[in-house]
Amino acid sequence: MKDNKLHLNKSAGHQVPEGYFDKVEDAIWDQANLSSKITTPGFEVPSNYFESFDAKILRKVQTQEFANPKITPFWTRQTTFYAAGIAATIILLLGLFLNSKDSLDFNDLETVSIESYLSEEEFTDQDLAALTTEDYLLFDGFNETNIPDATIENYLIEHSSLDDLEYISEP
Amino acid sequence: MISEQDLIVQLKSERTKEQAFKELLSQYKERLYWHIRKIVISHDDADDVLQNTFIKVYKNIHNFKGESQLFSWMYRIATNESITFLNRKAKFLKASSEEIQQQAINNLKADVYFEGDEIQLKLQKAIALLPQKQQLIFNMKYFDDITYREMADILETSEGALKASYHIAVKKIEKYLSSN
Repeated sequence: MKDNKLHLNKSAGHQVPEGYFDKVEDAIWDQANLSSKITTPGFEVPSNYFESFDAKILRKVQTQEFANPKITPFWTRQTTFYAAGIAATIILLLGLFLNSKDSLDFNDLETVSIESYLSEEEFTDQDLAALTTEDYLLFDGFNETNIPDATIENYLIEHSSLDDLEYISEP
Repeated sequence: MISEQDLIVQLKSERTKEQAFKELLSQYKERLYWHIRKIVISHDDADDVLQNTFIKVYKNIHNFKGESQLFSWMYRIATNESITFLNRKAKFLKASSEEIQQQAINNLKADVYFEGDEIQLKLQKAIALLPQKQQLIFNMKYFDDITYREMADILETSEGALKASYHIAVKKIEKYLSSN
């Protein structure tokens, strides 16, 4: 038991570890013996060493300061993150704007879309006639086309009936 | 003499740093020199370590947070620099730091900067036989009379452990001196 190892001073209630007084006596005795023999380690320094030390060390720290001047880096980790963020945003916005087309032309329409539009909408003859004003649909163009008589003859034999011939024969 | 708090403030200001550093040198250079000298033994080595210590103090004063006394902080730097110096020297010479220390003690007799008598030389031999931490504790208490509280701050050890280590060290040294 811990308490049994302690000496009890009944008058004040203070306690000391067991064997403390023997140990402290030894410690005091050893210390006294030693200090009676030796008080200093016996080392010496060259004359004027401490007097000249200040100038030597000041010269050294100043040389090192100039050799390694304090530099505040522009590209700290924080500024790099900010710059990268801004650059990424600009690239993203530019990409969006440059890739988007402001106007569509006829080639952008799909054939299916045109077909469905034509089938759903109603056109009058005037609407269709308006298309013929285009230069490439002028009748002059037909005059320039040379179709051989034999081709016309063959076409009429294959595709026409007697009824059709009635119309042709009319003046 | 300027107070420690004022000295720290001045050391941290670029405008007053140099003047405050001069004050720091004048207050602590001798105490730190003797502390280092007892660890590395030779004057030339102590001079090197003392210079490194003050350069480190100058460069790192802005990191000093005032959690301990300036004196304790500087002593800690000096102690670490001395031990690092011994270890580096041992590595360079491919020997242990104990062997390096023994070698330094053997060279003391021929050292022009050692004026000790026979008993002082024996004391150095006895100290060199102690474990490194006991050596530090013994030197700081016996020769420099640093309090256990300050020593606990410098060596980051409890006061109780320091007291026990010191008494063990004294006992070993006394025994060595009596038997040799």
